Parts: sequence; structure tokens; C-alpha cells
Amino acid sequence: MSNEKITALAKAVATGKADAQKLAHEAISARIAPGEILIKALIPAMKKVGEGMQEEEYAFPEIQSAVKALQSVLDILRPALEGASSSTGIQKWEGAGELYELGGHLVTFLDKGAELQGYDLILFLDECIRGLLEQVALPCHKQAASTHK
Amino acid sequence: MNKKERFQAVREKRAPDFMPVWPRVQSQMLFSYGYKLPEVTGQDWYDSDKVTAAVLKSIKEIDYDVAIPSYVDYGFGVPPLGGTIWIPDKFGVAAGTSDDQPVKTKADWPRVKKMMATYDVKKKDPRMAGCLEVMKNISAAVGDEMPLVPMYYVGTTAAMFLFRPNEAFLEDLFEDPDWVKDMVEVATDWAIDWISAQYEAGANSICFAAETMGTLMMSPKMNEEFNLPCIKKMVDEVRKRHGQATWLHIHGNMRPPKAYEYLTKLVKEAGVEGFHFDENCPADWIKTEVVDKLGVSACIITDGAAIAKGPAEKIDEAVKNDMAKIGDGLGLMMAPSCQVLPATSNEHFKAWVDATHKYGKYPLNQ
Repeated sequence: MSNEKITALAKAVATGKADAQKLAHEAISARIAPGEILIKALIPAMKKVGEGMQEEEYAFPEIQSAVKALQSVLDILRPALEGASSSTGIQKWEGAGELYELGGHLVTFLDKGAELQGYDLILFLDECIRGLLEQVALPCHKQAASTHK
Repeated sequence: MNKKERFQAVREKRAPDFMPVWPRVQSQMLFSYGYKLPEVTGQDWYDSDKVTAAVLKSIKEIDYDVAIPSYVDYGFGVPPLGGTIWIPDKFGVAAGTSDDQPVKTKADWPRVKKMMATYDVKKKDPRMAGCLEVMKNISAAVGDEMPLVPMYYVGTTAAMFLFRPNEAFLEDLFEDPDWVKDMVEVATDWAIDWISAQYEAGANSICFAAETMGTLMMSPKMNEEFNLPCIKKMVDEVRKRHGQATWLHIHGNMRPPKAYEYLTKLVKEAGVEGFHFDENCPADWIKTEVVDKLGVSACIITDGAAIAKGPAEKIDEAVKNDMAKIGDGLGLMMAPSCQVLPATSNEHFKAWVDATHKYGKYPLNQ
């Protein structure tokens, strides 16, 4: 039963579905630990996004929606884990390039979350979102800036 | 060869005397003339005399080969629908749409859609009417010797520029695809009418359609769903109404497999005759994979930022290097990655055009 809930949540985040937050609430009600949700649902979901980018299936709208779904879930997990951060630094996002290259960076970056626990995982995903969105939005900014030079 | 013959040779993959240049110049010509945009246009006015003088001076001084015979921007059509466009009072900054777009929420769409059904593209927006006036003037002055192309956006780009704030539209694409399809169809029909009006005003060559979201912001799959049918419709209508072919300006790297598959469909299914890419597509790839394999003509690209930055010697060197990569060079002409950027000096602009004419003499690389 818990596996089903985790799978449904991962799918909802990866495909940017608006019901991701509702599914997260259901998982918490079913006593699935926040840490388990992070490791078994959210990180695999974002890996799917990375794979989709590598395969040219995911671009700006799909990534934006998946991140929105991810953020909606992080919002409800955050209070439960807040304060439980370790002193070790969170890995910084350094990936750059075109969408399909960024997809590879995303998958590799998420692997670095394997050793983290608790609130560090939230901070790690925050950094992932920040770095990813900054890079994904670059072409849009560049396009807008091309008329401003 | 005159400019028309030179461009025709590119379209037929014959050798021109030298490689023609398509600069897609927009506000640069006004800034280089000494105007700031508020001296030339506002929300509901457009000074045709000033623009005519600037266009003619640009064509004469820089001597490029293919021109949009007016000043155009992507705010055309928006104010009469209830939006506000941005016309900056600053040198080198282009006009455009703002967050105050006509369709702020889905509830605005029925009203705007109804307005679009009766939108007279020749009269409703005084800026567009002024633009057509300039096209008539330019056509009378240089139309016999020069390809003058109509230009507007198509598909998702047209819908975004006409109706919605950019970021909201990108969300719509994923969250409300049926609504987006409706907006995209309405925008494309309007765009076709606007292109037709430009032909009636004196445009005399191929149609330049622009889809600047391309694979830069959308997946090939989404492009096939939303843009391919619109581009095909524009190609078909332009051919039916005016007997002209259509070239597509598209952004993004078209080299990955699915992007290339989409590019192939644009040729085989939509009937696009030629392409103007951005800096993500290198010259040698354009020659081998687009011109030679797909059998269509295309532009090789100099990064617009590099032209703006200069100096002239670097621009000359960049053009020379690109010419060495394109074999016989048949089927190719030169373009900037998007447009000649607004703040580009005429000195750098001319250096780029002259370098192309100098190093692009045919036969190439023999």
C-alpha cells in the first residue's frame, strides 16, 4: 500500500500533476516518513525529469510544471523536518548547457543526495531546483536580453 | 546579379556572384538613424515618414540583400486588444510586449477571441497601418531590384506575443493545452492575414515566419503538436494567396535526434522552403544536414552579439572562418543569430555585410 502511494506521488511530480500535494498528504496520513517520501518518491521523480530532458521529451513547460509539483510537496514536508540539518555543506549545482545536457547533470546531481538525510535532503532539493531553473530559464532570458543590448 | 537574382540563386541552390545577407534588421535601423523609439512610435501611432527615411538609409548605406521593408516589432496588434506595449525611451532597447497583455486570465479569452474575429489588420492598429504605409514607400523606391519580405510570428510565438504574458503562456502550454491550441489557431489566422496585408503593400518575395520558442523552450513533441500544423497552414495559405514560399526563423539546437526529426517534418510535411536558425546550429552542420540532406536552403549564422560587440576585424575573421566550413556554399546565405541587435553600430553591421560579400565569392572554397 505504501509503495503504491510512493509510486503515485513520484509519477505526479515527474509529470507535473497538480494533485502531487494531495498525494503527499495521503502518504503522510498513511504514516510514510517524510525522509522516505524524499528518497523514494521525490528524488526518483526528478531523475525521471532529467531522463526526459536527455531524451528531448522535457523542455521548459514540462520542467516548470514538475518543479512546481515538487515545490508543493516540499512545502508540506519542510515543517516536519526543519531544524534537523547537519553542518555539512549541501552540494552546489554546477551543471550548465543545453536542455539535454542539463538532463544529464540533473540525474548525476540527484545521485549526490544518496548520503543525505532529513532536512539536508530538503536543502539539497532546494539547491537542485534553484540551479536547474536558473539554467533552464537562460535561453528565455537570453532571448529577452537579445533585444535589450 | 542584382539582389533579387542573388537571393533566387540561393533558393535554387545555384551559385550567386557572392553570398547574400539577410539581416532581419528591426529597431537597429531607427537607433542608427539617431531616433529613440518614442520619437517614431507610441501605443497608437507610428511615424511613417521617419521610418521610411530610416529604412531607405539603412538599405543604401549597409547594402544588405534581403529586407523587411519597414520597422516591425512584436507589439503589433496588441494595444487594440487591450494590452499595453513597452516602448523604451532608451537607446538600443527594443520595443515589445509587457505583462499587461490582453488575456490576463482565461476569463478574458472569449472577449479577445471575439475581437480577433473582426480584426482588420490594415486599419485596426494605427502602428500596423503606418508600417504598411512604409512598405508601400520602400516598395516604390527599391522593389524592382531587392527582395522585400513580409514577416510575422506563427503558432505559439504569435499567440504569446499577441495574448499572454510570456511566463503564463509557458505554463498554459502544459496545464491547458486545449486552450493553447485555440489561442494558437486564432493567432496564426491573424498572422496569415497580416502577412497578406504586407504582400498587398509591396512585399515581393518569400514570407519570413518566425517561431522563436522552437526547441529552445519547447520539446520537439510539443512543437509537433502545437506548431507544425500552424506552420503548415501558413505555408499553404501564403502559397495559395500569393504564390510565394515560406522560410522559417526558428530558435534552438536542431541537431539532437528528435529535434532533427521535427526539422525534417517542417520540410516534408509543412513545406518550409528555407530556414534561419540561431547560433545553436553551426555552419558546417547547416550545410551538410539541412541543405544537402533535406534539400532546402538556409542561413548560416553569425552571433548577433558578436556583431554588436565587434571590432570590425573580429567580425571579418568570424565570417572568413565560417565560409571555410561550408564547402561549395550552395543554398546558403548569411544571417545574424536572431536579428541585428538594436544597439549594433552601423560600422559593425556594415563590416559584417562587407565581409560576407568579400569572403563569400563563388565558387567558394576551390
